[in-house]
This record gives sequence, structure tokens and C-alpha cells, in this order.
Amino acid sequence: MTMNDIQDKHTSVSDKIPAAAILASLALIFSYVEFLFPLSLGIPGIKPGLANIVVVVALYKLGVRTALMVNVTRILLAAALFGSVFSGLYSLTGGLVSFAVMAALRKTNLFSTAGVSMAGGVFHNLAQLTVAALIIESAQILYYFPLLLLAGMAAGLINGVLATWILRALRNID
Amino acid sequence: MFKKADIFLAILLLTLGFGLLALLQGFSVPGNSVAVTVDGELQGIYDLSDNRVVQIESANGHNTMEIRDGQVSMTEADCPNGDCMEFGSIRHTNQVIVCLPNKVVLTIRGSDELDSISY
Repeated sequence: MTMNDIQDKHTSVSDKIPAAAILASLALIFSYVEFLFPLSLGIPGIKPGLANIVVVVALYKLGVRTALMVNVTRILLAAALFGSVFSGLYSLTGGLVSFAVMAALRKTNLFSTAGVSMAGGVFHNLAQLTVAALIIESAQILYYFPLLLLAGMAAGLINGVLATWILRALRNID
Repeated sequence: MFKKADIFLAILLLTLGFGLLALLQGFSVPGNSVAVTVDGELQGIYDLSDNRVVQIESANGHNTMEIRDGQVSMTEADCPNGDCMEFGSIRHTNQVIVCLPNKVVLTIRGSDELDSISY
């Protein structure tokens, strides 16, 4: 496995599996670090979502299908290893909605990588908040809508800037 | 690194986020009571002026809520992550503490007059 595998956009999906596996492991490590050292900011559930740096890098470097594979693999493994069925489904909802938004915005070519990630962070939180409201059958939780919107924006933006730097570094590696 | 659409989206999100935040703060006054709902069903309403500990039983588990000095906090939960205990204390109208796994929601309510404004 060399960086060429990550670099080459013309390989088939099966050729990307090794790169996807390595990126999924990396994303899993980020999730694990966040699990070990949770942020306590007054609102539970607010976290930087560092695993999404990897997802954004995969999206731009390997394309939509492989990035989706990385994303879903990471979420399922995280749930199995240090989460629960509940946290897994919850995280899958946020992960898939934010991924769909990022993949769509990337296609428009209107947004930068950081902008795409920012939107992804916002929609991740809004999707989870909506699911939470449906689960508890109460709209009261929407009280946290503005805070989660801003938190998702900040996290997505920071992750997006980091992903941009990583993509820049990878571009120079042959 | 950034494009025009990024800036536009960022301004839109910031305006929406901080605008709604300011709106919520504006309507926020110290509440009179706390409503406990489990699975969307109202279980009880407790006055904030009475210090007490309330046990909340739900189909999925058990939570303990404490009312002290006009503030409400979740002091115990048998859910795996205990997120609800990290909400801290709440005392202003419309503030909520949620325990997702047990589907328990605590909401601060104001007087009837204030309710008609904020709901």
C-alpha cells in the first residue's frame, strides 16, 4: 500500500478498499480519542467530530462511494467497539445526512472544502436533533437548535480547514 | 481557501444561529414549575419553590431529578452515557434536560401568562 493508491482516482472501487480500510481505521481512532476524552461544554453531545476530517479527505481524494464506505465503516465499528445500538443508529443518522449534504455541495463546485465541511457539521447536528425530538416525542428539545447549529458550524469549519491542509499535503505526494 | 458561497453560507448560519439565540434569551425568564414527560406523556408538574427529589420511572430505566433553590438538575440516570446529568441546572422558561435513552424530558414552565407568550 503506497500513497499512489490513495492518489489514483481512476482505480476501481475494489482497488480503493485498502485505502478505505486505512482511512476507516484512522477515523475510528479519532472517534475513540473523543470517546476517551469527552468535551464537557454544558450541552451533552457536542463534540468536535474529528473523524470527519478523514471523511472529508476521503470524499475529495477517493470520491463519494469510497468515502461513504469509510464513513459507514467507522460509525458501525465505533458503535460495536465502544458504543451501543442506540448511539450507533443516532450517529448513523447524523453521519449519513451530513455526508449526503457534503457530497451534494461538493458537486456544485460553489463551495470550498472547508465550506462543504461546515455545512456538513451543521446538518449533522440538525439531523440528530430532529431524530432526538422524534424519539422523545417532544419538540421542546429544539430549544438547543441555535446552539447546535453554531456548534456544528464551528466544528465543521475547523475540521474542514484541517482537511484542506491535509489534502494540500497529499497533493504533493506522488 | 474560501469561496464566495462559503462566506454567504457562513453569514446566513451565523445570523440564524445568533438571531434565534437572542430571541430565546429575550423570552427567557425564571420559571415557576418543571414538567416531567416520559415517552411524550406528561408524568407530573412540580413547583420550583419546593426543594425535593423526584424519582422518574420509565419503560427503559430510571432517572432522579432534583429541585433545589428554584433550579432543576438530573442527579442520577441508569442510561449508559449519563448525558442528561451534564446539562447542569436549569431554571429559565423553555430550558430542557433530556435523557434520550429513557425518553425523559424535563421542561421549565413559566406562569400561564408567560406560557401564552412563549408557546
